[in-house]
Amino acid sequence: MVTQGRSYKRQAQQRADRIAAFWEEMQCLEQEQALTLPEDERRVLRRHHDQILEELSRQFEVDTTKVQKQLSLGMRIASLLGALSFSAAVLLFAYHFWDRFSTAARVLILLTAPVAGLVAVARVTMRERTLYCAPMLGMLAFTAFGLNLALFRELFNLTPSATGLLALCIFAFIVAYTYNLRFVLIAGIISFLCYLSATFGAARGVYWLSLGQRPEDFILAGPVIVALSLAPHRQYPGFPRVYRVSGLIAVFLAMLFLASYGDLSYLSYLSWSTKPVEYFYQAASFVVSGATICLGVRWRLQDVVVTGNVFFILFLYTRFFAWWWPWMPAYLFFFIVGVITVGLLFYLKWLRRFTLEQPT
Amino acid sequence: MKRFGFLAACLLLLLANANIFVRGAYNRSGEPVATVNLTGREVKIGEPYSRERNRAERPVRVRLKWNQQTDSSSWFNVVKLEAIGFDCRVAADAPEAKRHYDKMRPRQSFAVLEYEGPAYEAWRRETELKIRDLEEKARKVELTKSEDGSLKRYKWSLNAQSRLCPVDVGNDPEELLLRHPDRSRFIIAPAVVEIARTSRRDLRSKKTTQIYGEISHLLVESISLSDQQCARLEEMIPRLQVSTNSYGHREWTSPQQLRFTVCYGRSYEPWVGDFRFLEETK
Repeated sequence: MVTQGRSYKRQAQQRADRIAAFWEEMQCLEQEQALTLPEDERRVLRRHHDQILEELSRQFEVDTTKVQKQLSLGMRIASLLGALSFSAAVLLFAYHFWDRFSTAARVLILLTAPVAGLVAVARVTMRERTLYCAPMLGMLAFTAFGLNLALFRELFNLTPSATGLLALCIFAFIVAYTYNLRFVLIAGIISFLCYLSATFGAARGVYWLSLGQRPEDFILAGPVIVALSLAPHRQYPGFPRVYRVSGLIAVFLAMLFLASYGDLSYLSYLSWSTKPVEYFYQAASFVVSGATICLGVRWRLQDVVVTGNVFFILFLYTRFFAWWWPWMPAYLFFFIVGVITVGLLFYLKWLRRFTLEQPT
Repeated sequence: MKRFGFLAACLLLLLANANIFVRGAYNRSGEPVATVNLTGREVKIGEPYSRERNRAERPVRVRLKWNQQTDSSSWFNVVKLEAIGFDCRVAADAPEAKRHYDKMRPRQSFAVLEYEGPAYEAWRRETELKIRDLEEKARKVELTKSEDGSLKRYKWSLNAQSRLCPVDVGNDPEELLLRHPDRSRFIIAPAVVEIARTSRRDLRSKKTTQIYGEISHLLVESISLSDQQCARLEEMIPRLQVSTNSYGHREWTSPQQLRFTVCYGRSYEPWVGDFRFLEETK
């Protein structure tokens, strides 16, 4: 099973990392003359570890050196870029050449493209031990399905509706969980957020494509996404992090907008004028991002701490800009920002020490 | 798990596509709710893009054009806005009105478009009046550049503007159908409507503020053609003349030569029933 394989691969990589760390430390200890293994024992141990690394590398394609690790990271980034580029290529191809095809050809392309994408993902995941091409093909299948819905609707002159977003979301979740593809999961989460926002709006009679004009929809949907990370994901070790980060980004981005554009808020319906709404969200954004960092530290979730930190700093600098830039001399503005950045550095240093002091 | 996932994804694809096919078939089943004969003024077939040859992109779809210059404030009033679901409890000239109405989001509803009816006649008369005023002024003094541009635009609109004008809105299409029973003149189509607020000064220079509704756009304005229709239209296009309008855009000179029959089905979604080229009006 691909998913089980991915879980084992993570454990195998951890073992390979431990072995590399062991030999690095051993070298230091020998230089400091704190511990020296007898040559024959050292040779036996080295051979044993080499055999293990060879086996792990053969079975799970783990990275056994730093260079390999860097290359793997590069390949993952290339895979992401490839997925985005191919999806854009498919979309642009469709819009450029679409009108030249006959109706029968168009129907055939629309029906077969997502299935072909799925077949390609299935075949590649059977062959790839580390999934580099599968995410690209998964995104292609997702894009092809999106095009299928949009262009069939156009072909039959049907009124657009939010149901298409729900279908896209379900499709992405099925593909992501079947083949353990995080990029496709992110696409599914974005579709889900858009669907929820569109549905909240449509329930109030608002045109569904006005989604995003009420950012609070995303503040409500974000925690739902974060909560999904609590579900058991033994075979999908990377998924809980994707849920946590995506959910938090949805909440924080909505707060970032509302802190500057209070008229977009539901609170403006409760006879709140724009300014109090903006002040409320400015305060809330600091409280929520601060609380996120604390919870991340407490539960030892590095991704939560990083996301909280990034947005805390973003909120802070956005506020500085809004409060001071219009009237303050530029040199003073940058000086104050510099001073505050030094303060932040001390805070992060304290946070780092605090996390180190926490029992593992 | 993998096989199950693959089959589930294929099943979802099948269901989503079946839903689209069934919706399309349902819309075109039975008697259309509207069958309106329109001209090239109301149905746009794409821009002519080649100066050398009067060619357009392959016309796989046409675009329904409706007159957006008509004044909807006379009929799309507060009563209609409230019937659609807008909250109009705040008086238009109240101090909190701006904040209240600015936060209103567009809503989805149904618009009634009338072909060559009283609304179009009123707009035509108003435009003719504006032309006459400007021409009279031109006889006395030299027109400014903007006035001259306006005069050209008014003259162009009189001959090229769509005669399909919005006349009513509502959330219940059945009710609209009862109010406007002439199926050869009225189109009922899903549309996005929004609220507008405008201030005017009367003769005593007293400022009066008015709340009214506007149709932002129809949800289906682009209508796909079948392969046969596309081929026929492609043959007709070279017979149309091209000129440059007052906006500097290239356009078909005599769009009235093209006659389209546009039908709206049970789901109030359109298709092109037929079209023809009138040689005799050339």
